Amino acid sequence: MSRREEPVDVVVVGAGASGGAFTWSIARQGLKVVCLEQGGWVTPETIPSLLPQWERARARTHHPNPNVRKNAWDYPIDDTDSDISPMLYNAVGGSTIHWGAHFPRLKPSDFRVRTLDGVGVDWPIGYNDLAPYFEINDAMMTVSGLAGDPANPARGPRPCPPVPLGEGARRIAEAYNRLGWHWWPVDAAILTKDHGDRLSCNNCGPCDLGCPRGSRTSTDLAYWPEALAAGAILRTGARVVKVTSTPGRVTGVDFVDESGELVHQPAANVVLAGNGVGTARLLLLSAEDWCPSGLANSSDQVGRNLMFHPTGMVTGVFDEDLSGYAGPFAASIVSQEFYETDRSRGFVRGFQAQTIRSDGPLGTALGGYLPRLPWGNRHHEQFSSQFGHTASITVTTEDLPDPNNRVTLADTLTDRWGVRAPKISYRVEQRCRDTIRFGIERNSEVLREAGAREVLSIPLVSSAGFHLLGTARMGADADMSVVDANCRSHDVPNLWVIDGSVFPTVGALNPTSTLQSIALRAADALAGRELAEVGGDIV
Amino acid sequence: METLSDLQKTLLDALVPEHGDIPGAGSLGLLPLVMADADDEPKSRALQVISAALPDDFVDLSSLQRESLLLQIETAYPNEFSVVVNMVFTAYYCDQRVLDGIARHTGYNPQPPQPKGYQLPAFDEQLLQPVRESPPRWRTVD
Ligand SMILES: Cc1cc2nc3c(=O)[nH]c(=O)nc-3n(C[C@H](O)[C@H](O)[C@H](O)COP(=O)(O)OP(=O)(O)OC[C@H]3O[C@@H](n4cnc5c(N)ncnc54)[C@H](O)[C@@H]3O)c2cc1C
Ligand code: SF4
Repeated sequence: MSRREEPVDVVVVGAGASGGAFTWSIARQGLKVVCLEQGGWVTPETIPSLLPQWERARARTHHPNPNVRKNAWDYPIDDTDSDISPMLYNAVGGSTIHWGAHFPRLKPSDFRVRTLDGVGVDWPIGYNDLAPYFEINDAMMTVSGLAGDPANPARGPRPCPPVPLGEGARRIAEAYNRLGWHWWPVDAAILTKDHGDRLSCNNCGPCDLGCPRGSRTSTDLAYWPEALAAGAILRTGARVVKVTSTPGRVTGVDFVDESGELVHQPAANVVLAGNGVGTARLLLLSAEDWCPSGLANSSDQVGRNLMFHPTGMVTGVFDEDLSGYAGPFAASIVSQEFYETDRSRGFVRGFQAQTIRSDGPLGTALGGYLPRLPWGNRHHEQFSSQFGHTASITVTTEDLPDPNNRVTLADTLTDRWGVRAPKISYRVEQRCRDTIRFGIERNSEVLREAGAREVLSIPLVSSAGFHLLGTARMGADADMSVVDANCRSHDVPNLWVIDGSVFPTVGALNPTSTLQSIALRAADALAGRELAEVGGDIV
Repeated sequence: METLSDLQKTLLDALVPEHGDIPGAGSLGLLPLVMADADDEPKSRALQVISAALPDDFVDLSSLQRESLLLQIETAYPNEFSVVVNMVFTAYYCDQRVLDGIARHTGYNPQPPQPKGYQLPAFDEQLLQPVRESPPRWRTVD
């Protein structure tokens, strides 16, 4: 060991959605906190949507799959045994650097699936425990939308008005109205009015590449400036390779810095925010003689119960030009008509139907929302009929915890420092496939009602592994879960997990609003406690 | 005797033929870009396999004959063929002349999405009237 840093109250691993929110809160509560992030800052001028080759960038350097883009600060993921490929980003801001910013909250029933529907497990907390944190987080993430949705509990006025629908979503909304189905403009972490030096959205389209205007909120914009101003220290290019421990207590972390030097960061509390893959990997990498199957893993639940939200997609092709490439691609309207369980459908739990706009020229040709366009003599005719003429609806389902769906350590694959990569084993359960089939049928009706000439579907979008959840779940029973209701490890009281790994079940909604609110609540739990009680001395 | 690059240029033209005033992908001169894109083993191998499967007289065939021959090659080497098609589409739809052509027929902005973006009408709350009138529809729990 060549270098040892000054001890701190809290070291956070990962500066993404949860790590940013947590560090902001803990720094404002006066604790000495260092966050270690393997990636760096993403600067607005490097965002590809400013460049002529922006669509090429999406297929290469800015692909959401780290195995494709292979940036130096990425780690590879063995997904050869998975029905779904993981998508994530490693940087200050984490995966919110690439996200679509759709910002729903889990619903009250999502926290009680065992009680209500006899499947999965109940959470040890409920919607009301998170309600105040949802509101704080919505303000920090500058959410646009509209209060008053009858499919969700009441919430405060949204900081910004809804994003514009565009022609495709408007037609779909009218179709929902004619069918008498629920829809609502999405809550989106997208500015629809200027906010400080961040400009309102100008509907350029590809939010997934980043937003040079700063309209689409990511945590590098929303949380980090204030966290740093409150005294938090953020080290980039710092890949944590191990959480160090003595029996029953963590002592800090070892990380490799940008020069390749191994550094020890002692801390009274270690907080993991590396997402459902990165955190499980780190816990497994941190095995010692006293915890041979991995840190905090006496329950054997670390890495298990991986959940992704299996997703299908249905796309309508319209005769009219909808200019579907205009507007934030993932944010317009959502229908929760079929969200809550109705046993007459033949399956429990439900799905979210999220309207998606269409793609740029290359995206249209390569396919994704639709099959790839044919090559040869029919190519141009098909391109003209589809480009700008489509609108899609994703059918997002709720996968339930299955111990065989899991993150383990790869046998031979390693990152550039020779540290074992994570391996994902994952199968989509039949209930999700049935739900998707039902969802595609019902939303095909919607698209036809909206005037689509042709409706095509994809029964499983295998590249939709955007939500990495469940691999260090919270629970009251220490034999069946990794952390307690406050995100504190059952085995190691000064170790905390605060990212989407802690979800016991996942609802059928994008998770980031909920996981950030959990992180904010965990920060209060950690700061509100006598730190001695959680095992560490305040420095 | 045609050179390999003549064959490959014809291959590109067959995959994305000319359209209106825009030449096919090969005649647009995109072969060097496609070659440059084949910078990893699977891509360069795919290009090699598909090129090797082209007959010497490929250039002299009619467009329909080329297409039916390529269908046979696609059946024989589906993975490699798919990789080549993706590379050719990528080169073609990132070419400014092609984007300008698309813009002439649609409202598309052929420049990068930023800084210009698009104007869209603001959200119209009137649309929501029927939904607002519906009763609460989420399950309450203790
Ligand atoms: C293309 C895309 C679209 C998405 N769209 C949406 C959406 O519309 N709505 C929504 O709710 N969610 C969306 N998501 C998911 C959303 O981004 C994640 O839910 C959220 O970012 C997860 O937060 P997190 O804190 O758990 O992890 P992340 O945000 O992924 O952050 C984890 C951070 O930890 C760092 N890290 C991991 N291991 C280590 C280590 N060993 N050492 C140092 N640093 C480490 C990583 O580099 C990373 O920066 C999308 C994701 C993608 C990729
Ligand atoms: S659509 Fe709006 S939020 Fe998305 S990248 Fe463009 S300007 Fe930013």
